[in-house]
Amino acid sequence: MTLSNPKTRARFWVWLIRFIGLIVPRRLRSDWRQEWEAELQYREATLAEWDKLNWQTKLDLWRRGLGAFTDALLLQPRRWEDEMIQDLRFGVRSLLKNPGFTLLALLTLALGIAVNTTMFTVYDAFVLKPLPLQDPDSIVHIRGLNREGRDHPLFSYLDYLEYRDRNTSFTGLIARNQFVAPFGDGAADATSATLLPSNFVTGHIVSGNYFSVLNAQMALGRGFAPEEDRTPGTHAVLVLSHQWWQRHFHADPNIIGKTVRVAGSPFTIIGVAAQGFIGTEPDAPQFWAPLMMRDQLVGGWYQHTWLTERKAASFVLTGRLKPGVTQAQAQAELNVINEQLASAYPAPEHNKAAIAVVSGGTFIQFEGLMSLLTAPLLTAGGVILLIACVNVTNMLLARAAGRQREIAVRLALGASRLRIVRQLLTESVLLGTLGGVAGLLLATWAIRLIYPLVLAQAPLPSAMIEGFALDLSPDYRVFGFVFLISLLAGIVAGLAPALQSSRPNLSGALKDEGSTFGAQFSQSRLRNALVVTQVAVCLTLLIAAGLLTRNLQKLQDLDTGLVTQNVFTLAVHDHGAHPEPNHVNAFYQQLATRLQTLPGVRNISQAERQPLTGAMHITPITIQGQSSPNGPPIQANFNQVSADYFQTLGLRITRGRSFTAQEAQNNAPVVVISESTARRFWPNENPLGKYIGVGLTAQRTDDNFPQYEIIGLTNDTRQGWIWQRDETFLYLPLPPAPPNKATAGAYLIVSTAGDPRAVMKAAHGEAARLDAKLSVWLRLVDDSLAVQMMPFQSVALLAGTLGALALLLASIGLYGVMSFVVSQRTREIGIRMALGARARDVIALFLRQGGKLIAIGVAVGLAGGAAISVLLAVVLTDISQFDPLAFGGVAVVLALVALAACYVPARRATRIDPYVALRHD
Amino acid sequence: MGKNYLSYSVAIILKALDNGYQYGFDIMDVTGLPSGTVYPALRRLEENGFVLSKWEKHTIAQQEARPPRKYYELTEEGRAALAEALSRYRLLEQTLLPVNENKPSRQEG
Repeated sequence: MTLSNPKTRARFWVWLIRFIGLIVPRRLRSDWRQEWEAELQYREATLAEWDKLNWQTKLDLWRRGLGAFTDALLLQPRRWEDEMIQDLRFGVRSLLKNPGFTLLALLTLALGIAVNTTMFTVYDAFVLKPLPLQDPDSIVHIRGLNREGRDHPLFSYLDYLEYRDRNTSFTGLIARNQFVAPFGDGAADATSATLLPSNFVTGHIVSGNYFSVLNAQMALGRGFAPEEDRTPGTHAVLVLSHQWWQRHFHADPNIIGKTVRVAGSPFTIIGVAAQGFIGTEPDAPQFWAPLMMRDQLVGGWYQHTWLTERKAASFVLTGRLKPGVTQAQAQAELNVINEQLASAYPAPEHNKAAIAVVSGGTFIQFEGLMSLLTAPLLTAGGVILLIACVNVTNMLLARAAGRQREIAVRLALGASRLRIVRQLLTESVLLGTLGGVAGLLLATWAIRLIYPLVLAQAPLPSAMIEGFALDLSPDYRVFGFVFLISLLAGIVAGLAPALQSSRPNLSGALKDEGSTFGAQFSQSRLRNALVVTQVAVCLTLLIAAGLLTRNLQKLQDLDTGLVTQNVFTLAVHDHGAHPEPNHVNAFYQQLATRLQTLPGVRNISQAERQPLTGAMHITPITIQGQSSPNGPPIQANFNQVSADYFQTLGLRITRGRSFTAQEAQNNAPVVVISESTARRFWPNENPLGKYIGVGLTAQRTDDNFPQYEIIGLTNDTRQGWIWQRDETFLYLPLPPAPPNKATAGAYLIVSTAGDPRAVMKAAHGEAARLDAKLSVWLRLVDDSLAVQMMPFQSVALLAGTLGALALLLASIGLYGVMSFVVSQRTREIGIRMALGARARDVIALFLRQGGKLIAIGVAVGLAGGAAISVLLAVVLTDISQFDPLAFGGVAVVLALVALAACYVPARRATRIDPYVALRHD
Repeated sequence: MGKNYLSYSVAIILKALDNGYQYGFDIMDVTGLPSGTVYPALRRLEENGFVLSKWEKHTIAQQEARPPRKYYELTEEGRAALAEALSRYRLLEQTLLPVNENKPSRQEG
């Protein structure tokens, strides 16, 4: 049988294949259709020829025809490849055609991306980057927790031995701690404005297995031998860090065996760690010494007793998990050991409630507190990126208006809307990607510039700063992050313009009415909304910056109640140089006597705590008739001071008197209190002559606190933290130290007439002459004040920088929009001017238009600022969270800058020649 | 797609081509595989150079008043890949019949 009427029979298949073929990429479509049609037709014809064309075979053909759909689907990737390359090529061409637009958009995006990249790089270095150690994932830190679930991080040496020897989870468990000590023989520069004298360095005392557990290699020499980990005080050896060896010893290849002095004792250098080994902390030490040298290097608490007392918590523990052991398993095992220890040696105040094993593969674990600190920064970064995106959106919208005709032609010729949107999005994503590359370069450059500056701000000796080993080079995480936010920025910036400009009024656009009066107004609403958003968001950020700056300003003018100029404190640390504890007290007495004779010294006093170095000590107190025995104890700040303390620090006795040297000597039960203390406890009474029971170290259980008579009142102060007014303050006489005990943490406080630096140098000399083995720390009280100010300064600076960036971006955006509006209305301006409008009128016209947007933006921004100030209230010290100067000042600055951004293009409009303008199309 | 990654269904398609079946539908018939598998596989094989496709001569198609069909043949590489696959899929050797006059297939080029 011949093929009688193949056309009618083939119609159905043709229809099916044609339909499915719609989704086949156009380049392949005709071939694809032909192949399928030919096959199906041929098969049908053959079946008919054999008289086998029945319902069954027809159904089978149906089934096979539907298989074409799978075939077509699997061809889809080729479509995207093809058209994407086409889109990209077109995008590059159209970006090159408008270099001004492209540069501005790139710069804007680059700035926004750079800010975020910088922040992410820092985050990455602290939280994500693995430590430069072999197999960092198996490193864990062991943390003790107290009953309230708070950190109880230190372990005693005896406990360490138990954990080390009883566990089966670790290949090794390290005990270590950090300390600072004077290095070398040279005298320190006593007048340097750092927290520590310039010859101080950071060391780690570590258990003997430290280098082997961390798999550290040595560049020279060896690590610690087992016998160096056994007998206390006998093996004075140390291993230098590679960086310190290079800096301080000029990479001396014969350094091994040489002797250096640390904390006054000679130590032999036995090794230099391999390059890149920094241990487990970002502030890498300058050297490592055996745990057994603790008394020689650290001294202080638990001197001599740390080896024998179970409560002598002195070390942090770090371990390496055995392969296959999880953190949870290790934690469970350590908790069992902890419980055994707690029942074998019950001591509720020292035992740990639980042990936590936390990952130590990176510098920092990201936890609750950190996310709280970083959240505002992340928000600010996101806001800046948003402003940048909105800028680019605006620019794209403006450009799309200019491209309406091109797009209309393409739509009229049959391009689908999806196709146009994809084309436009490709362009903006291309912009985003290029902006990302530029942003990454900018961020890398900025980090290289800023990081040393930030480090130099730290009030620490240079050796410690040099040791800070944060690796801020971008890694694959940073690249990934940049790629993602660039892509996101490109899409966010481009989506709205792409959607909007792909549905123009075809006939209007083709006739080119877009540039005269009608078409731009529908789009201008979106643009205006964007400008308002930008101004508002920018103002919010600026208000935050303004509040923080005002806060800093307030802090700088703050009255601490003390006269801190020309006052320095002097502290002595013996680092175990003298076994008899009372030696330091005698030394203070002798030194004070000698200092009295120095020229320029005005006054010398002694105190248990030095002012302005953080929280003051507190003590439970009882006041007759006011404290109930079962209620919570009343707490008060206090310091034990010598009689001259008030004079040295310029404290005014406002009522009564201060105690005499005689009273201090006799440990007389008298107390001077601050006025706020008096107001709090005796609001309408004369407190003089009344008694306070002061517990000092006593437990709450015995209520017979020694009674102190109030003999005087002083002005109010901030003696601990600068941002905290002392609600209560008691000045107790500093008793002479009992002969068998050192007064821990005692300070000489010296006020001078004129510049104290010369006196400080002389005092340092006197101290060295009296006893060269003791190390003396001198510190200006003003420096302590400056150190407290630092976090406020850096936060204000950071917020200010971010705010300025936001302002810059927002003005660029506003300028761009106004320029565009002006160019769109060229013809109208020409008509106005031809009809007699003056330049002033034209400028006013545009300023009015811009001003309206700015005003709305400012109003919204003020509301946003009010919202953000609630969050900031925590860190604000003495100013209202709605500080009018911060809100008002910033709003005015923003409004002025924004108006200027409108003025420039408006002014350009007035230079339009009416004849040219009227010919403008 | 390296030679070692030929799946059984792809190997059986190669074997069918080797046995002389040239059209997509013939391959479906002889292998029993659905069209949604055979066609995409043929396209991938062509991309990887295991298979070559050619269009049927117009004159033949015109005689029968239908569009020209596309037919496929093995390349040298395809033959090598098949040989390798046959060593792994032992049963493949006996699975398929060679082209037979009674089957709806043609040999014109």
